[in-house]
Parts: sequence; structure tokens; C-alpha cells
Amino acid sequence: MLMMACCMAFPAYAQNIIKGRVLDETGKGLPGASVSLKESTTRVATDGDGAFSISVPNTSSAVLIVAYIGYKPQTISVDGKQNLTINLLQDASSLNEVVVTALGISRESKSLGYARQKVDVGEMTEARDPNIINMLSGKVAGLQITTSGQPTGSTRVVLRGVNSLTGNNEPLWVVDGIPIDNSSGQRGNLDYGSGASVLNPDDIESMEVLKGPNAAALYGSMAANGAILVTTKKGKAGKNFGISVNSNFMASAITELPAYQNVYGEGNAGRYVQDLNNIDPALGVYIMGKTDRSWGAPLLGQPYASYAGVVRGYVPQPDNVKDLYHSTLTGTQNIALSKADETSSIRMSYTFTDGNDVLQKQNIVNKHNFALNASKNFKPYLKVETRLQYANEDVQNRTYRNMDSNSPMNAYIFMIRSVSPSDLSPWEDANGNSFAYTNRGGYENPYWSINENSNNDRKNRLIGGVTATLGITKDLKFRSQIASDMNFGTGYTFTEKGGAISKTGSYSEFTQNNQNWNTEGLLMYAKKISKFSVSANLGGNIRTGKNYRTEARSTALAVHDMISISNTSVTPLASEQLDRYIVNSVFGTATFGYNDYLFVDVTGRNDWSSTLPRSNWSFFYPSVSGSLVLSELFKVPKEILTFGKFRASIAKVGNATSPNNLNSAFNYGGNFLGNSWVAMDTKLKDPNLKPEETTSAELGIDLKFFNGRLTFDATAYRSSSVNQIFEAAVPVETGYTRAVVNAGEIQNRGLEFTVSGTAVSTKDFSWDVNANWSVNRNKVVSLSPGINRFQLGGWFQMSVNADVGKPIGSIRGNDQYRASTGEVIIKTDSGQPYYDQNVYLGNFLPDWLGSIGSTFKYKNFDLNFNIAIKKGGDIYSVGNHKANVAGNTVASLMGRDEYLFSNIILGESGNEMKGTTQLNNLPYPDAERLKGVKFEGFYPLLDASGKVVLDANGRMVPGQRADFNVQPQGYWQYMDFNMHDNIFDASYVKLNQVIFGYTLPNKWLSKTPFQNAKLSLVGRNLWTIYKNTPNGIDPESANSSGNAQGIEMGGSLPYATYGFDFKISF
Amino acid sequence: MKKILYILSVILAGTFQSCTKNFEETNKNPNQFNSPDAEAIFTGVAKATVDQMERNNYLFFWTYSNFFAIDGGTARYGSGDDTNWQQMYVNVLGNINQLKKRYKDNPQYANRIQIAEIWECYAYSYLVGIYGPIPYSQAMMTNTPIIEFDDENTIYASLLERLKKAADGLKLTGADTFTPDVVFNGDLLKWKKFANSLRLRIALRCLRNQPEAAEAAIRELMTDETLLMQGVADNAKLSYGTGEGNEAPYFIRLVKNTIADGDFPKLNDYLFTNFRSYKDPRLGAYFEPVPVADQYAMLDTLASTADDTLRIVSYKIPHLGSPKSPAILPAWGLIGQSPISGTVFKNFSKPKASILASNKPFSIMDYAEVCFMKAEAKYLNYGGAKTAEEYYKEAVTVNFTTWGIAASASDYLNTNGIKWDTQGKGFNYYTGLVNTDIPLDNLTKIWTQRWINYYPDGAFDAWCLQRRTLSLDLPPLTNAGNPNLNSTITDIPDRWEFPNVERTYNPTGYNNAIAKFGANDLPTVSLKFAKPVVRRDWNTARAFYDPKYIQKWYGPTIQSLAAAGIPYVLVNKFVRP
Repeated sequence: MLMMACCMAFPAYAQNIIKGRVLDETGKGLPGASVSLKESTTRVATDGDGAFSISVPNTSSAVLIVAYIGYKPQTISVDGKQNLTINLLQDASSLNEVVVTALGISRESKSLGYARQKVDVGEMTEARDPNIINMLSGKVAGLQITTSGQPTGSTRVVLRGVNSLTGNNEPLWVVDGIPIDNSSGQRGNLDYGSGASVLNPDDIESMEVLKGPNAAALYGSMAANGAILVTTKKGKAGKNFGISVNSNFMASAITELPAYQNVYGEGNAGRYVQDLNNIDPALGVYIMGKTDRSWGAPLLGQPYASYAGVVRGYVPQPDNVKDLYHSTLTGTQNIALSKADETSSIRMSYTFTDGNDVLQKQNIVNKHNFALNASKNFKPYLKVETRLQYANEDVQNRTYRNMDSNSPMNAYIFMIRSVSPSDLSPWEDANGNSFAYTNRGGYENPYWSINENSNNDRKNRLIGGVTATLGITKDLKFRSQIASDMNFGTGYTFTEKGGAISKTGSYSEFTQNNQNWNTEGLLMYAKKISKFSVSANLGGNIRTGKNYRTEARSTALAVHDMISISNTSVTPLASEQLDRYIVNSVFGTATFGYNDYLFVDVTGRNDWSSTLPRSNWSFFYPSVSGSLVLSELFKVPKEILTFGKFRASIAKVGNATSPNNLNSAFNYGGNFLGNSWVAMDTKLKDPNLKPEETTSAELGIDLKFFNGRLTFDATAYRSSSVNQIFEAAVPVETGYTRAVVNAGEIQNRGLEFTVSGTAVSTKDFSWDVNANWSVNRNKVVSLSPGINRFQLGGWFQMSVNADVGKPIGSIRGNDQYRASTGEVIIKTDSGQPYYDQNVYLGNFLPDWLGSIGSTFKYKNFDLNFNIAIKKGGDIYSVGNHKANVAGNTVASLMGRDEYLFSNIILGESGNEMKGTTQLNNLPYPDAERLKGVKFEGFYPLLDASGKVVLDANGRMVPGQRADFNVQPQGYWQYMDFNMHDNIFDASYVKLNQVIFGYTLPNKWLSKTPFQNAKLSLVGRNLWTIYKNTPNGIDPESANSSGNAQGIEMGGSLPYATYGFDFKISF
Repeated sequence: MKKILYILSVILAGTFQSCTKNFEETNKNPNQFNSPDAEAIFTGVAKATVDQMERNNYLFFWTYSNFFAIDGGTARYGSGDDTNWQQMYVNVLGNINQLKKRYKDNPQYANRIQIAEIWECYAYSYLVGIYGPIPYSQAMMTNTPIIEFDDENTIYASLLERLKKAADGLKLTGADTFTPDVVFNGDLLKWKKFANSLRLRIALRCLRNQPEAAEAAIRELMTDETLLMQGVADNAKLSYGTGEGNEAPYFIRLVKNTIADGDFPKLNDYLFTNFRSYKDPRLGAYFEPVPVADQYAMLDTLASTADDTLRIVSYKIPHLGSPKSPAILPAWGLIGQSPISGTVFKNFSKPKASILASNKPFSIMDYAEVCFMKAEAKYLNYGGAKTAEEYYKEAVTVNFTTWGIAASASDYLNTNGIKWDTQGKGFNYYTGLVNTDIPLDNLTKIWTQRWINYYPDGAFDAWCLQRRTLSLDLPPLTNAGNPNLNSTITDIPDRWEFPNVERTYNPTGYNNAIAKFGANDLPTVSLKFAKPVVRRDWNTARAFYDPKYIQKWYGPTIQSLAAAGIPYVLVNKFVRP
């Protein structure tokens, strides 16, 4: 009624326009302040200068209410004035921000006794990354991100270090109070992305990171690693239609390639044609692809035939890797409608994203996100809220990782320097089969992989819920909610028949149906009696999950180019998987406050988890935290110390295990000659598992100075996780390869600092800076009895381990043998070092993490950037290792010219390279000249009888200095036993986000229906300012989003993304 | 307030407590079997065992046995990998253990438990022959942090005892047998004969280190030969099939999948030289002739029946053996041109196509081997109804018959060096380092023929035989791939190194096992059953190129070439000096 009246009244009094400006204490205009007419719905917002104009029915009697977040609202009687200047005062009490905490309960931040940090979501809709999780990089103290390098892959998030050996170490994602599935999508060498990446930043109101188990104690088992709370946008009251549109385009291009040599071509031992096996008898010409390495002769245009039999020159092909890559464009379009009145609200939003990868035809994404939030308040007794996030995602051709034979990514390692893209294309012969690309090395022609093989998956994800809040009395409410997180999907992988590696081809398809349900009831009580306040919550929760997957596959195709399970020449195989769980919980919290400066918080939760045995399936865990608001207690002048809080917390969190982890049973093995056979699980399960327990304590201080212009938060924590449930490799003579073990302890301790401030604030110009810094120290206190090392993962002879007494993540591998005194010992007959196994090479954990962000505003322009810093941590580059072994890198040129001269031109013999004459073992007169590469070191000391002398430790003793020229190919191929050459410090400084925005002035928009418009130029990962890894190797890359970090193996070449973003609302 | 909270929590707790009634059901994996049929387990075990044996053959033992030359990778005298240990202990012995655990107390399964026992002994006899000390008495224990290894002697003694017990324990009547039985199709008598024949094989192998137990077993078996396999119908083999999941690993690796030319197994030049020396028809039976277009054109000097000239001609030969490594040691100072210079991979003979068929059965043990073993037993005076020579001749004849060349057997058996009490003059190896002479000694004859009989599936046993007897005078591998050996030149490994994972996951057991050898885990440690190796310094060996082993293929004259219809290129013609 009121609204109608207002609308009708509007034209009649349109001439009564009041103009004015809203200013802060320093006289600077406050943009976006709300100016509303009392007792009406008329409301306007100030523009970038704080200016506004509002129509009122009557200038003499009109009363305006001016409000701005963080400032005390003012009520102003217009009294007939036409131009107003309103100075707002900062509201110290409004610094008591209200934040969303566990279970979706909103609380004043001053009452919280644990560390939390807010993430700016607005930036995420501007400098976009297709994966929302990637955008957390550099935004939160103590939060580490590791990406797969690919736009559609999984991202690993770790807060405060690694707590679990093989279990989940990532924080729990909670959307509107309900946990969602964020499991990694890694399946073999394909990565289907993390569960949380489905969230759309356009639909998110806020993100809160609760860093330790202290904060998340109430989520229990799943939140031992902290939690990320996401609150979706709700309908808001506003002028005009409440429609906003966001259009974003981001282009990507690779920024770095490995440094390839372009001097020597395909071949072995410095020879263009090593032996007759390389000659095509029909053409009488060296035919390419007979060897898989670039250890041949100088590229001088010798005759060289392509696979298809075309003879051309043996010449360098400097761009043969680069040509596989292109620039791409990812577009994101969003439209949202938001409306609210006093009792109801609604918001609808639709987003369409289409994108692809810098590698041709890979990772092509089409994603539709729908969001719907609606609420109705039947005052005063009942409020009902519903929400729904639906995402439909279609991804074509996810790139295989980890040097999978089907991955076109392999080119960056293996592409022979003398092969041109035109030789690789066409990639198939008249029968549709691949030309043999290489006879060894185990990978396909990249153009074959790109054009003939394919995979596709379609996902339908539904996250939604209904919440009803019942007001029983003034102080007592009951909230009940039911929510679900469902994922339905199908997909296939197709490997074409006739490949150089996969001759038969293969096909597999899957259907997935995951359903997770949460039903919760919560009784909420809050009461304030004089100086005392109490709030208590008591609830129960039932969480059930059913994850079901079926798969059908054929290991040999009947015909080419037919993507179907019917295309099979063998009986297709089928398999089925079903994981189920039920967790029932009862929990309670109570907060006691005294005089607004002392708060004590107690929580307790008991879980009954179906994944544990009867004797252990019920477990209880408590937490206690407190905060003392120093600024309230001591009444310090607000202009200096605006707010100060000391907080402390201690918590224990239990963690159950995954389903089906108690009893080993037999698996279907297959059908052999008409008989089904079975095989026992190779994992020994434990029917007596106990829950894991993480105990964590933290102390912190939150300070705000100078009316909030400078804030400083610091936290110190330590945590210990015991009764680790992990899968340990066991001696296989037990009949099992792995066993579920319930032992061991891991400790973490660390510090986190966040500083933010406004360095300059004038009318037209402001400069905000914020910085995060964190350090975490991890220690593996114990593993299972008798075991001092646990292998988390690895590659070839290199492993990533948990070593007792050391931080988790020691990287070990074969390395050159060193005498007790440190000298490298060289073999006398080959000139290569002896080697030891499992030598410590490094550790993947960083020393510290930091980030600096800054925002400059000048009039309508703003510039924001974010720099992420990681210090320390090591990475093993398998890509660099393999590219050196293949002789493709500039590094591998070392000694080649010398060898060529010695071996080919002078024809020096093996003895001469070793420094002795061909006959009689006399010193070779020209021993000084380099004839290849020398390993630095010493021959073993021999005794009089010619036997190797060993010291007290049983180690060889250095004798004469080695002076042995090794063939360069032999030198680099010895990497497998000399692994320290490929471990790199993974420190970096990266400019990971830049936003340069221009907000259109209100005066331009005043005659249009548009309220706000902003155009931004944005960029991500634009510049790696500092790093130590070789070109083309991203220090952040990882071959897995699991716990075995520190290995680089064919993720993606580094690329930068830049584009523009346009936002408009009307 | 507190009271209310307390009451509420008790009520809620009670409610949830009762909700746990579906928990156990929920945590059951509906796609797994808790108590499968014994047959389903045994079929899996048998397949896993033989799959692994075929894998080891193409990766390792085919090179060790000198049947094939395989370039690259582990075949270049690698000394084992983690896979074998895991496959044998987990998929084979682990599942046998599960089978026994579930059925040993069920009297209706008594025979099947004995069969499982026989199979377990077979698997252990394989492992002990590869590594020496292995976890045996403490294997399959899951509740101890340390698993000790047993000494070779203990294991051999125990295996002989267990096999006897199992063979004797089989009750040949009644329905208690595996159905299906992928090895003997339910024939319990064949199982019994296999168990005894296996016992004979093990006893002969451990004659050096367990002489008493071995001799006793051999004597017992030779007293009643009906305990052993009595004909090819008793052969132990596992069949493969043509469909997906049924194919032989040889086929999957060498035919179905892509393999580099160099990694494909090719006729080994030492076996080839032996075949050439004694005009062995098995050259054509075991190996495919090289397609004419790919045959190696070799230089030869032939006389003529028409005049007194010699002609240097080039003509193609249908078979050729490949060296394990063509690398020539610089210290040999070889001059002239290698007889096989300029050869390419496709010039060498490949295994008979039938060996690579997807459904080729794997021979676990055959009757010919039993005859060879009886020949040896008799030769050593451990009993036997026939003479050693009779057993020997029967063995060779059975082998020839198996390969479809029965008609050539008697000619072959009359060749010097093959014939009892004769000695044979073989060709030199192409670098002259060794030759394929066969001495007068008849035991060496038995061993040499037994070695050839093991082709292709018995490569592991061929390796055991060679280590026990050192009867073949083998050339070295001149480009060994094992970087842990302080040498690029090596003889065949004497054992495999323990897998890497043992050092990490069972360090105490591992170190105690190493101590049993005298402190190192190298492939050059001789096992107890083996004859101690006297190492040659190959650098000081006398080497010379000798092409005789491939020359005069069709006869000594130019006319014999023409008679065979072989085209040739005349390179030179000169009067006999």
C-alpha cells in the first residue's frame, strides 16, 4: 500500500529536489552512503564524491536518514534547505562487526575467542579465475593454495599445515551453514576438479575463513583443518529494479617455455645416424622418430624423412612446442535480480561461463550457474528461508597429467628438437592409424592426442536447503533445516584405436550419483541481564551420504572414431562402487559475556559415525575459548586504540574415517576362461579403528588503531593430531601392500599476522594496504611402532615421505655417493658417481607465506593489486629431469661441442677420454682438454692389493681426483642417480591479481535507468617477480592435489590471464 | 537452565544411540565378497602366478636363460624389481593364505587345501631361487613389526617336506577337488604327480646345500617312478584364452601392445651358435625364419665344384642370433669387421608365432623335464629303472615330439656331442670369447639338453640350472644396465636384489637377511644352491672375430647355394692360394 502510494505520489512532487553531499570526518565524500526519506521507501545512494539528490514531497517537513556502514546514522530535518552537507561520525561500536560463525550463527566478532579472516569476494568477480578456490591465493594469512595448473583441475587448500598423513588436510567448505563435498576430483591422471570449485563468486555475499579446529569445533570431524564459511547473497531492498549485470572476458597466454636447445637433433651418441636401424631402406634416409632423444648430430640440414615419408632437412625447430599453445578467451556473464521488502526477499541469478585452455582443444568448459534465495518472515513467530545453487558443467578434453601417454602436455618434455609440427601433421595414415611418433618413451604424437582422443564429463550439482526459524519466546528460538548437496554426472574417456602407444584404443564411461543430506535442529537461547549476557545453542544433526558410481569400459575398440561402449571388440567390463555413511551428532554451545568485555565460549559435540567400529563409533570433543576486549575494559581513547581484544582458545576435534575401512574382503578380479575369480583387498583394514584426534590451542590479539585506520591481528597456535588413521605401506610379505594404521602423531605450530591500514585518505585519493604473513612448523612426532618413515608418494626412485622427528614432506631419492667427509666418489670405469638411495633432497613445506595487497582510489578510478610470496619449500622437477635426459634443454648442451670434437673429429677413444693412452695405460698427452662432461669428485682410495678402502662407517674414502670425460648424453642420463640436480627451491614472488577500475560518475548515469556502472581492466598471474625454478617450471605446480606435494610432472606451462570486467546495475 | 540442557541432551543422546542400528550395514561394501568360493580364489591365484612368471620371463629371465636377446630396460641384466615381490607375496601367497584360512577346518576341502599347499610350495620355490633368503615362516604375519627372512637351506628342507606331505595327503577318490581347476581340470592324480615331480626338481636344485634331504627325496621318488609324471598328458600347464582378461602376458606385451623393435625378444646368439654347431632342427621349430626381405646378407667364401677358385659372395641367411649387447670392450683390441656388422633389429629371428599366441598355455612343468631329471638322478646313482642314457634319449625325443619334429630326433641324437659318450665341437662365439663345445661328460649333455628344453616358459629354471651347474660357457653382457654394479661388463646375475621397499618397511628383517649373505645385497652374491662362480676378467679375454658360425649355411660350395635356390651377389673371385 505504502509503496503504491509512494509511486503515485512521486510525479506530483517531483520538483522538490534536495541535493547534498555526505562526508566523513576528514571531509572526504562517502560514496555509496544511503540517504532515505523517513517513513517512505524513497532511498538513494551517494555517488563517488558522496553527492546525492533526492526527491521529497515537501521540503519543509521532510526528514532524511543518512546511513553508512561503520558510521553513526544521522537523522536530518531538511527545514526547507535545498543543499545539505552532512558529516557522518565513525561509530566505534559498529567496529563490532557481526560475523557468521559455525552453524550459520551470526555473532559479534568481539565475542569470538579464535582466529578468523574475511575474504573480499568482490574482487573475485572482477579478476576472475575459473576456479574460485584459486582466488584465495594471497588473501588469507596461513592459507596455502596449490593448483593443478589447469583451469579445470583440483586445487589444494591447506590452513596451518598438514595434520593428517594420508587423510584430508583441507578445510571444510560450508555453504549457508551446511558442509558441502569438496573432495578432490583426481582419478588416475585425469582431474575432475575440486568439489567447491562449483561455487560461483557472483552469488557469494561473504567468505569467512575459520583457521583452526578451535573455530570449527562445532562442525566436528570434518573441520579438523578449519573451515571456509560461504554465505550466499540474499535479496536486498533497493531503488529501481534491483538488476545487476556483470560481463567479464579474460584472455590467457603462456608466459614461459622451457629453454630448449636448437643445436643438436634427434639421435644418440652425437650421431645423426647411429646405426642402420634408423635408416628407412626404401628411402635410404634417416627417418624421424627412431629414437626418442635429441642426442644426435648438429642440425645442419642433413636429409631427414618425416613419418609420412617426406624427405626434408635435419634443421632446428625452435617453436615446435610453442605451436601447440594458443591464446584463449574465457567469458563469464552474470545477471542477477534482487528484491526485498520488510517481510520477504528474493534473489535470482544466472551465470554462464565458457572457457578453454592455452593448450589447443583442451579443458573446454561450459558452465551454467543458477542461484535462487528466497525468504519470508511471518512475524514474529516464523521465518522461512530457502536457497538453491545449481550448476551444470560440461568439460571437454581434460588434459591428462603426470606424463600419461595420452597427454599432449608431454611435448614440453619430450618434443625432439628436429621434429616440426608439419611432420606431426597429418598424424594418421590412410587407415586412420597414428604414424609411429617415437619407438620408445611411451607417449603419443601430441597432435594425435589432441585430435583423436577425447574425454567429456557433465556434472549437475545441486546445493540447497530450507531453514525455518521459530520464535518460541523473546529469548528462545528453534531453527530447523534440511539441506542437500547432490552431484549427478556422466562422462567418458576415449582413447582412439591405432595410436602409437595404444594400439587397441579404449573407452570408458561412468555415471555418478552422490547425495549428501543434512538434517539439523537447533535450539537457540540468548538473554542479557544487566551486565551479563548468555547465549546457548543446543542441537542435533543427522548427516547421511551415498556416493554411487558405475563404470563400463572397453579395452579394445572395434572401429575408429566411434565414441560409444558399443564400439568394442572385447566384452566390456562393468564395475560399481557405493560408499555410504551416517553421522549422528548432538552438540551444544554456550557463550557467557560480562559487561561487553569478557566472553567465554564453551562447545561440545558428540558424533556417532557409521564408519567406525561399534566400540569406537561414539566420540565426544569439547572446546573452550575466551575473549577479553581490552578497549572496553581499560577505556583507552578511541582515537588511539579504537578496539583491542585478547583471545585464547583450546579445542579437541575428533575425526572418523572414510566408509568401508574396517574389514578387508575380496574384490571381483575378472573372468578367466569362463571362470570368475576374486582377489583379496591388497589393503589390510582395521576392525578396531579409533577416531583421529586433533588438539589445538591458540592465542591471539586483534587491534584497531586510529578509528580503525590501522588494524593488526596476530595469532599463535599449536596443534597435535594423534591416532592418525592412515594407510601405511607395509612389508608385502604380510600379504598386503598397505594397511590402515591407527597410530602416530603430527604436530604443527605457527604464527599468523594480518596488518591492514589506510595509509592515505583524502577527499579524492585513498591508499589502503593489507598484508598477511604466516609461518608454520610441522613435525612428525611418531608413526606406527617400528616405522620411521612413511612414503606419501613419489615418482620413479624419488619419494615424498613423512620421517619421524622431521617435518612431513621430505623428498628423497637417488643421489651421488658421498664419503663420510663429503666428497663425491666416482667410479673408475665409467666416470660416473656411485650413488646412494633415499638420500634427503629437500622438503616441500614452505618456510613462510606472505602476501601484500593494496588498493589506490583516485576519484572514480581505483587500482588494486595483490602479490603472493612463498619462501622456501622444495620442488622436484620431473619435467626438467626428463627434458635433460632427452637432451632437449639448453642445459644439456654442456660438453656436447667438446665431445663432438673429441669423439667425431679427433676420434679419441674411451681410454683417451679417461686420460690414458689407448695402449699401455700411459698418461694421455692431451688430458687437459675437455672432451665431454666431467663429474666432479674422487676415485675411491685403493689399498696396495687394489681393493677399495672403507672407513669405520663402511664408506669409501676419496683417493685421486677423478679426471674422466663422460659423454654428455651419459652425464645427463645419469640424472636418475644424481637427483639433486633437479630439486629446486620453490620460493616465489608473484603478482597474482591486478584490477584497474573506473566507476562511471553518477551524473552520467542520472538520466539513465542505471544506478552503478564500473569498467575494470583486470589480470591474474601477470608477473612472476622472483623464482628459482627453471624456465617453464612453475614453482607452485604439483602433480597431485593430495598429500604428496613437491613433485612437478606435466601440469601446465605457466600462463597469464588478463581481460576486462564490466558491471552495471539498474 | 543447566538442568534443561542436561535433560535435553540425555534425550537427544538416547535418540541418536538408537539410530546407530543401521551403522554396520551402512559400512558394508556391497560390491565386495566376504566369503567367496575356494575355486574363485584359486583361479585368481593360478592366473596371478603364471602372469607374473611370464612377465619375469620377458623382462628378465629370457635374457638370463640366453634364449633371447632383448635390448634396453630391465632386460639388460637388471636384477629384479618391486613388482615381483609384491605380486608373489600379495596376489599369490596372500590369497592362498586367505583360502587356507577360510577352508582349512572344513573336512570337505581337505584335498583342495593340499592343492593350495602344493601351489604355495611352487611359489616359494620360485622366490627362494630368485632371492635366496626370503620371508617364509613369518610371511603372512600382520601383527609383528619385523618379519624375519628364512635361510635358503631351511626353506628348501621345508618345501621338500611339505610337498611330500601334500602329495601323500591327497585322497584320489571323491568329489573334493577344485571345480573348475584351471591347471589339471580336477584330476587329483595329476596334482599328486605334479607335487612329486616338483619335489624332484627342488631336490635336484638343492643337492649342493641340502644334500641329505635332497638325496633322500630323489631316492624315494626314483624308487617308485609312478609317483612322477609319466607322459606328456601329465604336463602341468595353465591355459590362456583369446578374450579380454584371458590373454597371455607374452601376447599382451609383444603382440597386442606396441613395443620398440629393440625391446622385442630376438634369438640369442649363444643359443643360435649351439643350434648351428649341432645342426639342431629346433632352430626352425623354436624360431620363425626371418622374412626374406629382412634377412641378413652375409659375406662368405665358397669353393666351387667346377674349378679351383674361391668366391666371396654375399647371400641371405634365414636365421640370425642377436648378441645381448653388441658393445665391444676397447681392451679386446678387436680388428677387422664384425661378422654381424650392419645388422638391424629385423635381421634377427623372432620366436615362433605360436609362442606369442594369446591362448598359448604356459608350461609349468613338462614330462621331458622329468625325464631329464631322472637321467641326472640315475647318473648320480640315486635309483631308477632305466639307464641314464635311456632317460636322456626319451627326454630329447619327447621335446622334439612336442615341437613337431619327432622325425629328426634320432639323427640329432646321433650327432657328436649329443650322442652319449661323445664330445662335440661347437662353433666359436662371434667374438671368439667362448664356444659351444660339448665335452665327453654325459652330465653336461643332460644339462645342455635340459636347458634347451626349458625354452621358452622355463627360463627361470634354466637360470637355476645354469647357476647350479655352470655347464654353459656364456659370454658376458658388455653393456649392463645395472648402475649399482661397479662395472659395465657383467655375467648373468646370481640373484636378485631385495626390492627397495623392504629397506624402508621391513628394515630389521632386511638387514638380518643381508647379514646371512655377508653384508651385501648385490646381484653378484652366489646363492647357496649355486656352484661358486669363478669370475673371469673379460677385459683380458682373448677375442677375435669368427664368422664361421653363420658361414657355409647351405654348404661349402657355390653350387650348393644354387641348388638351394638362393640368390647371391658375387663380390670377388680368386684362385685358391
